[in-house]
Amino acid sequence: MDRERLKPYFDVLEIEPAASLTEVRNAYMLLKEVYSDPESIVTGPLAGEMGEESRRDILERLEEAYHVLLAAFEQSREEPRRRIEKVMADIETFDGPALKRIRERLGVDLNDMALATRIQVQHLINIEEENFSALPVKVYTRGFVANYARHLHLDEKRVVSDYMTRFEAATENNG
Amino acid sequence: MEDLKGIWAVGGGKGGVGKSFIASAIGTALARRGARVLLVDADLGGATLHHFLGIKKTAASLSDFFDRGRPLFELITGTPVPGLSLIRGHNATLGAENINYAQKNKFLRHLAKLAREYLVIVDLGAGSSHNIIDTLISADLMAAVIVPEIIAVENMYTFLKNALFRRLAAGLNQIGRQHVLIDTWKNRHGYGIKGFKGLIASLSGRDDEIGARVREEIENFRIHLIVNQARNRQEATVGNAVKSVCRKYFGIDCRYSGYVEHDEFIGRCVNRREIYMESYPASRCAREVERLTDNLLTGRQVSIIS
Ligand SMILES: Nc1ncnc2c1ncn2[C@@H]1O[C@H](COP(=O)(O)OP(=O)(O)OP(=O)(O)O)[C@@H](O)[C@H]1O
Ligand SMILES: [Mg+2]
Repeated sequence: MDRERLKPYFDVLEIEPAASLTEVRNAYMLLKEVYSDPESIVTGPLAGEMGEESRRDILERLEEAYHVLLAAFEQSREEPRRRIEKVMADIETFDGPALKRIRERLGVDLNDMALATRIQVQHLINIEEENFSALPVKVYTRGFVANYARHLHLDEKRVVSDYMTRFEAATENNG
Repeated sequence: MEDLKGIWAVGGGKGGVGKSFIASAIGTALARRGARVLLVDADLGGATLHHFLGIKKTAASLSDFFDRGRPLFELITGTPVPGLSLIRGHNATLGAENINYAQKNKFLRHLAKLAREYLVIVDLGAGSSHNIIDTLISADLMAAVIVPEIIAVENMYTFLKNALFRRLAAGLNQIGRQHVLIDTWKNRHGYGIKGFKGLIASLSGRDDEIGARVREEIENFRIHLIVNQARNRQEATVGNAVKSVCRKYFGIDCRYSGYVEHDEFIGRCVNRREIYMESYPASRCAREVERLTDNLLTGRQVSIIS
């Protein structure tokens, strides 16, 4: 999302260009409420001065800014999907290296992922490097992989199934 | 912090909203961070700033400046907070708040001089009189305190309009067109001008030179909004709303710099001659004052509270 280009719309909603979607929503809702009511605590004292047209004009600008920004957020949600389309096309099975490639392509940092998933960084590395013997028992590893897939918005079932097949094959061979 | 110099003015229009408490609290916060701060109680009607610093009386006060012609710097006294000094206000004798034009200008000159050595924080007192507004607009940072209540908001708009009017007058004066402002405002009914916004629109459409000047003065008019005595987060959003109206309706650069909640210990500290920021540094209000102080220094703002 080109936040610099969208700055005028963020300005209308009186938030920073770095604002999140939730902040955009909150700002829109608050300001809409303020200008919809000619008797509010902040518009009331300007009654007789701040005409109907002034308020309507401001409301229209709010509406426009909100819709432009909503659309931009919607689009940016699809952006990462498009970015990994090519990588995904080449993937036959979700093994460790494939997961790593997808994660890197999405620009997701391992440390951030560890924080969000509450999985230790070392385990995330073990998953990607397929250090099967260093990973915990099956049920736990399955949980980790599912969490990993969910975090990257991948098809959780397929990732778990592909990965666990390899995990089981390797751990069974080792005894 | 030691190089922080200049004048910060704290006003807002309505009486009793907490201008003096906020001025004293910001001053204390900055002094504790190592700034050299001078609080000046310019409330010529009812000087109370010293009460928030646990000080009963001082040898000198602004009366010595206005009535006896002593220079401002001689009136500076220490406070219990290291790095924080005070010039106590005038204790109102009848009509004393009506200082004349020459006295006001001398006061502003002396303040400017002190601002080379201190960060001067001026408590303006209530109202939107000429003296208050002229002191406000001579400051490097202008702050307006409100409480989440319609009367305070209304008074604050008046305060703002007066300040804007004075700024416009000064700006147009520089290009020798001040009479246009005076004339337009005097004959506003004839011109069909409704309210302050109408005045601005009418002036802006007059000719390019006036239009450009008026726009410049308005866009560069920066005021920091402070909400005091909020009783919950919902009340603090009044600041977001007022800021919005100032930006969108008046067109000025209004920043919502912070809010401070209601805390009855503030009043208790006054009675016990304690300094709130020193007695309760970990309280919510004290932390809010710290955040407000950060925001005033950096220009950051309160985001929309949900
Ligand atoms: N955040 C707060 N919570 C509770 N009480 C407060 C708060 N801020 C100020 N007060 C109290 O409100 C009263 C008014 O505060 P203060 O004197 O600072 O207002 P002011 O705007 O300077 O008034 P004036 O217009 O008379 O100069 C005082 O009794 C003070 O103790
Ligand atoms: Mg006061």
